[in-house]
Amino acid sequence: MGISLKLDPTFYPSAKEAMKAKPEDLAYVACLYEGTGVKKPDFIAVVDVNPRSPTYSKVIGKIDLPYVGDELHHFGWNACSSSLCPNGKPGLERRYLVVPGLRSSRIYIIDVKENPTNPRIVKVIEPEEVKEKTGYTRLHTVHCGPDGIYISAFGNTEGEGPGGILILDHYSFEVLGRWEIDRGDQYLAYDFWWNLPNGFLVSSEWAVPNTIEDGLRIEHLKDRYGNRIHFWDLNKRKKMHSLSLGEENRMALELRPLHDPTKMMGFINMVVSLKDLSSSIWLWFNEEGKWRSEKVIEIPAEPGEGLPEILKPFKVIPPLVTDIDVSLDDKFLFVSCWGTGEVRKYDISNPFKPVLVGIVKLGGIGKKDSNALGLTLTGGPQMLEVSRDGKRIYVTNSLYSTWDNQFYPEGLRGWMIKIDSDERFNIDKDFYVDFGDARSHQTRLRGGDASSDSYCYP
Amino acid sequence: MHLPTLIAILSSGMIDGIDVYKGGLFSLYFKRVGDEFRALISPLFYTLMECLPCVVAFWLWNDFSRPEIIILSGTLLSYAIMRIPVDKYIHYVGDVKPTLRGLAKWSWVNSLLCMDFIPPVIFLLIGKGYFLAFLIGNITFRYLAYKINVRILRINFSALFSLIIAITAVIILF
Repeated sequence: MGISLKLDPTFYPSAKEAMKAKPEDLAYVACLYEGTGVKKPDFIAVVDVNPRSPTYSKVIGKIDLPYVGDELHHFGWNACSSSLCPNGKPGLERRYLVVPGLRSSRIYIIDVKENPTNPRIVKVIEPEEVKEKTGYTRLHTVHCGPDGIYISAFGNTEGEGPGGILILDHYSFEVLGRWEIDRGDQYLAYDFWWNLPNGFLVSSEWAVPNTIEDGLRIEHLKDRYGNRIHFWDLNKRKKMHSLSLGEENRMALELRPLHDPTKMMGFINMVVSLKDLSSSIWLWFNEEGKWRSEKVIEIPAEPGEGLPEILKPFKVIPPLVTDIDVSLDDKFLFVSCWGTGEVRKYDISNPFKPVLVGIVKLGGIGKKDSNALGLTLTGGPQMLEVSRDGKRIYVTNSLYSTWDNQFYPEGLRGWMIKIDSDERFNIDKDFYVDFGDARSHQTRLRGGDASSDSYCYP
Repeated sequence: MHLPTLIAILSSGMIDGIDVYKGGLFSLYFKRVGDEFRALISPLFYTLMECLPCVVAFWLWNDFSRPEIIILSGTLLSYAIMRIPVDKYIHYVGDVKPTLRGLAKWSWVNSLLCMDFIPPVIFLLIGKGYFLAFLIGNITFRYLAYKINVRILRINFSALFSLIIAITAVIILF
């Protein structure tokens, strides 16, 4: 409760101003043992990402969680630039990581201010409290809102739907309850984000926990995986509209609105097409008050060898676009193809017509060749995190424990690779983090990154 | 008018006015989206909403005796001391839609919640000239903040405001 005469210097009114922030020096990475056979608690690794530091590219700290089996996945900050929105909450600071366990539904609050390389847990919200106050379980996306911390959940206490969003208090981290007041026919949940000054929230669909937790079953693809996005009135907490993104497509995952809030549009990745196993990226946008969508990128499946059991009937390697990220200047879209082992860079100066401007190859299904690092990588590029200035992309390789084991049955060692993205688009040969038996999922950069903050100003 | 009191009250108005969390973020948004009219009236609008309870105080005004001045000063000091630890916790966000209606609604709600109307009301009660000094300092610095607000986003003017109010209360007392 100390009084400071300074406000948080990592908050910026607009994404363009945030791009001028000094480069990140530390990265926090969610690492998990679930699915590996190792009975150890998951941890948050602290990675040195300052190229001038003698410990560059090394894990210089970690915090082990007290329980086994949380399955760390996504996480976020307690506060961010949304605090600077008109009528935002004064006095907030980016100090705590809010880290949910996807499988356990437990939430850890981790203080990284006192000692950034040696964070400590200051609060654990047990799953029982989450269930009792919200009825939700399996917690996923964390966004720092102007009035609270928002976390999406895949399902209810029985592992079925509906999934939704819950809110935590900014200061006490109390679970305040469900966010939705009128959800209409929304049942499936996954990611969400918003456009704060225009007062809308958009959410996406994967599947309920009972469908995904034991692995992907091909027969479920037809009717148990979602292909819609939902638009909500952020203030009335009411669903206003839904869009189906192609009848043949399944798994509407990562929502990436443009950072300029005057542009009411964004991208989403559809992981798989039932027709040909291709992946696609769609642009959703508001035109004269109506929500519309358009497929702007399609990435085909590739013929391949050495396929895992789950893909043998199809005889092809699907691209499996499982993460996308937009640079803060809204000029580039980064796409990870977890199946075919590519990170792609698209110029989205015209968001309706993205232009492919770079590809980096990193592992992939059935790929045994070494890359620019001289290493044969296990797994493929999965989570992407883009630095605020858009010049560095951090890539990790785990998707979801049971799915990792299906698509990469030979085993998957967690790694983190950095791609330089200025004039060129290539791997930083001096940066490679090996997490050993642990798998690596989301990365958060100290001070903020391209998917952590929401901005209210152009 | 007592010169040290006048300077202290003028400074309070200035510090309150330059706090971008008090309406300045609305004008920043309007300015960035090219809505110059709303950007220009927002600072004035916020001061008017904050000082609205002064309309009531205006009718209560009379020549206060020394014991009454001590009570007013004590109230001001209590307000300042209580504000320091709780200020950031009692802000109600509601929504962050940048509209004049939102500005009016949330500035009114938050000035009531934080009891930010207390200083201007007390300044009016101890003298209309003092209240005028507060208003002048407040509005002038709201417009100054409107011009430079991105550069002052890093300073916690709310904490400074509590400090200057506490000092003002002590000066009024003596």
